[in-house]
Amino acid sequence: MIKQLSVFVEDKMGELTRITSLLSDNNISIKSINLIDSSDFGLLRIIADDYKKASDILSKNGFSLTIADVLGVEIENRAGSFNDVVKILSENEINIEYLYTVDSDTYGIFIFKVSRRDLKKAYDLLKQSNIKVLDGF
Amino acid sequence: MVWNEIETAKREDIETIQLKRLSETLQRVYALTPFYKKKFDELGILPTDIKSLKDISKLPFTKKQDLRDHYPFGLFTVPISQVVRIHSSSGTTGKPTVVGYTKADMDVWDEVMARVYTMAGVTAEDVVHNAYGYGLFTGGLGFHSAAQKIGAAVVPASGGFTDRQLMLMRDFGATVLASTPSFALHLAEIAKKSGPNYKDEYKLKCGVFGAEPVSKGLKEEVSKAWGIDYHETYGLSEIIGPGVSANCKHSKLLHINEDHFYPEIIDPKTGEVLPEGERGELVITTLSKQALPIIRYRTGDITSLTYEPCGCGRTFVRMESVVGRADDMLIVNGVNVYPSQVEHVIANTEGVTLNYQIVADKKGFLDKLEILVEMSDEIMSDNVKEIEKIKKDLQHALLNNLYINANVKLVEPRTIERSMGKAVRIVDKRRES
Repeated sequence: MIKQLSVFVEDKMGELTRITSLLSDNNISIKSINLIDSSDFGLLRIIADDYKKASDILSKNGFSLTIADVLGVEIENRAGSFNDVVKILSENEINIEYLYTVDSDTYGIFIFKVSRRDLKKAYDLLKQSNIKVLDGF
Repeated sequence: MVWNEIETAKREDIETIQLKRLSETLQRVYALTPFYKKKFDELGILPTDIKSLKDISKLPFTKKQDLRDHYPFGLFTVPISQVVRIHSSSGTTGKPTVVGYTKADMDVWDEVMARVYTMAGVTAEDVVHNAYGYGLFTGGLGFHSAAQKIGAAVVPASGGFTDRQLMLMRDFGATVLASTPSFALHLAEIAKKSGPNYKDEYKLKCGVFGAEPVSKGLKEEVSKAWGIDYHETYGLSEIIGPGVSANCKHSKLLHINEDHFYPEIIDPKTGEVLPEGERGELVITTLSKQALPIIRYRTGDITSLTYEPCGCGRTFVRMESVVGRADDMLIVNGVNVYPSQVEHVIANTEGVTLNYQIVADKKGFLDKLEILVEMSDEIMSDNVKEIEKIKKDLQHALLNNLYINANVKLVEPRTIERSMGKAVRIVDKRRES
């Protein structure tokens, strides 16, 4: 399973740079980053090589954040490969709350969130179905 | 024109009436309200000890909190069978201030409001467009009933629906606008869209404005935007509603209907009565109220009094247009808002910390309220919907409990301005502009 940071960002100039500079100055590598905007705030979802360090630094600098377990799967670069993953979950009545992709040259990586209740079940199901579930980057 | 000749009576005749009514009021509250009996007894005062108007300074004050503590009818001096109307102000969670009126109280209210209309030159010939909110707020019905009493045609428009209100004003030929000054300006802004000669489409001659403190500049703006005379009325539901005082055509100062409401100006810190002309907190004792007589009510409004004769012939004491507040109350589009009430609502919203700031500003000519609330790790979520729900829940709670439409804005932790380590809770940008 993968640890994902979600950071609250106000809709104002320079907020994103403040976060990325803090991570870069502390040699933290961002594996995936995803900004969702709402009417007057943003939610920045980050997967970093060292989530603990990243979360400590951001908290210390006054950011509000939360850590969630998300699933990451590596799939082949062909049509229908992600459908295989989604099918397994939907057949077992596991709902995906949100998902996004991470760029990779040869493979496709999907990151997605299921409810905490279903997390272990989804992880095991995917493993049993020979889907490559990531435990980090 | 003067509605009632008492308004031009000699000072000693006014004082004779005041003293007689004061004695009756004191007898009444002492006999019928345990709250006042206890307060008088503690000070060792009997109603009969008050022999002159000056002696009023020996009496205890009544505060807004006293009304809340005796919610709903604890300070009434009549059984509910004699009450014909109940109004209420916004409260925090379920503890608003409640006021009641007997038939005689309603007659007094109509009487004082009829004087207000007459000071503005309103007669039976007029069409009064009443855009004060109808409901628990005393504005709508207070302006309504007296307009009927003087024989004017009243249009009970209430608030909102700007375009439709303008259509009604044009089609019904409104000659008098009764509204908050900010709403009058808002109406003018929309009316202007029909071109530079928009005023020709309307027959307005004057406006009777109130419920909000207003600068001289804003009054002139309203006056100019509609090409009308600006008349101001002051009032508060605890005393009667609109109609406590208003200005005539000769002066910007407001004649207090002092045969019904006895005014004093005190130092808000010491409670000492201040001499004529000095600014301080306005304190009012009702002289004729039956359902809810109130002794030395602390209005929280800062003003001054003058007994100098007025060019209109009225001899009633005049007060300055309110210049500020003795406490931290904000008035937002005519609704009174105490920061403590906002804090109460925030405290009752799950997961939200008390790091907040209230920002009052203008959007066009209407007041706009924004409540900044700092995010915390407890309410932080990786789900946008959940964060937005907190914002919506808070907005909903503010509207339901305080009747205010506020935009809640979530901000990053530790971003709310601190002054000497203490968070700044109120920022009123309306005064600066």
